[in-house]
Amino acid sequence: MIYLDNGATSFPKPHIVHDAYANCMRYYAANAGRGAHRMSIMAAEKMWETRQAIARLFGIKNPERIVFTHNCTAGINMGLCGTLHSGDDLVITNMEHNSVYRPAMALSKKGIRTLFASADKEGVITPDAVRRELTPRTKMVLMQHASNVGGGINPIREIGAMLRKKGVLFMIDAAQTAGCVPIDVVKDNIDILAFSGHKGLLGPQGTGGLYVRDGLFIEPVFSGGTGSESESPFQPDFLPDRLESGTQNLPGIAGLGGGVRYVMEKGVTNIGAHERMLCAYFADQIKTIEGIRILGPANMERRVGVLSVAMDTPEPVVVAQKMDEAYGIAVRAGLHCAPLAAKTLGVLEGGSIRFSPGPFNTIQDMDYAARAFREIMQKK
Amino acid sequence: MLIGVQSMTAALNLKKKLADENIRAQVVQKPKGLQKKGCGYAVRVEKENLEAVRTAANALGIKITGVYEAG
Repeated sequence: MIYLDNGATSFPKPHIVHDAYANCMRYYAANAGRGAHRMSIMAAEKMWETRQAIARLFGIKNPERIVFTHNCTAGINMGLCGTLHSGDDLVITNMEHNSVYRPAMALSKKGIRTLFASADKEGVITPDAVRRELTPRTKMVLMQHASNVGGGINPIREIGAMLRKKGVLFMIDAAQTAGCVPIDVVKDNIDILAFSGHKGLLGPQGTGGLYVRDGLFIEPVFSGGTGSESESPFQPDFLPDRLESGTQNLPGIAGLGGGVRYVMEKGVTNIGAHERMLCAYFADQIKTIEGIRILGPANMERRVGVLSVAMDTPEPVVVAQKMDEAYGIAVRAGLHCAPLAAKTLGVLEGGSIRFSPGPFNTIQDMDYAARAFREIMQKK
Repeated sequence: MLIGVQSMTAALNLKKKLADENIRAQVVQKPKGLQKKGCGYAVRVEKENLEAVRTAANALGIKITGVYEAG
């Protein structure tokens, strides 16, 4: 199997992730922060090490401001629901994944209005597009760092700087960029950062996280046991405990720590460049196929390693099925859980087929996939 | 000495900082009598390191919930 579905979740994982996960399960999978015996302390130390590694990766000064979640979507929901109140305005974009769109729509039933910043023709959001949607009631702008459909990277540093001056909270969905595009929460003016652990950070599924800027208070969506201030009927007021109720996914977090260390050793920029190079090569190989349209920025330097292709016939889902059955290539087709992006890019009816290589894919993989794609398209 | 902090995470943060300064610290659960009730964690250090612990906690923004002679 040639796996080109890293936009959904990365595969394979580095050996360091397998080992970290398995070692935790074998030797120290106690409950972190729920006792002080040696195994519990070791479990808590492993969680701390992962927090530290993530902090280094994203330029976060205090690792205690990082909360573990079970995926990026959970973090987005926590950031939204814990911050906004009836009467607030929220700005998102017309390129968002359902992980942003649906929670925003759910909040609209609670008196929180959502406004949509419009992307340019390549699916990229400019600072002006965001500025146009701001109102005196805008509490937060929440947007993706890069699109899981078009692949375009948004200029978050410029947008964040503009919002910081206006006192508007800036929350980023880094599902497609954590691990392959540099992120610095201070320089990028990010107040809240939601990230996936199982995509670019190469951790196990069921991992993710949320960074909350120092001084920003978020109401917890979940309440429960934290192993601290147990005598109180209310959640602690400090992080990470305030937002980490119940037993945490320790094996996953240990594995995530391995993934983050791997990413840092290889270099975020290097990984991103590798994935872009593979996409550029693939795009070059398929560009002469009749009846296809490559979505997103033409300039590969403005993209992450996600290349979606639209066509009328055969349907993208049929092409994806043939890629799997006849060639052993794993790709995804459809709307990619992003109907807003599909509509913006003009593919809401038919969707698109997405090729998303990861750090372990090679030029040979892309060559084979391009030949397979061409053969399928020519047999239509 | 036992230096009480708010959480296990804070205790580990403090312990790592102290380790960087070659001060040995151990994370322990606060024994009954050193807290009102419920769960709580502390860092056990030699008495001579108390000021270093205060300085480290201050630098990290960690709230010290109590200092105990016991332990």
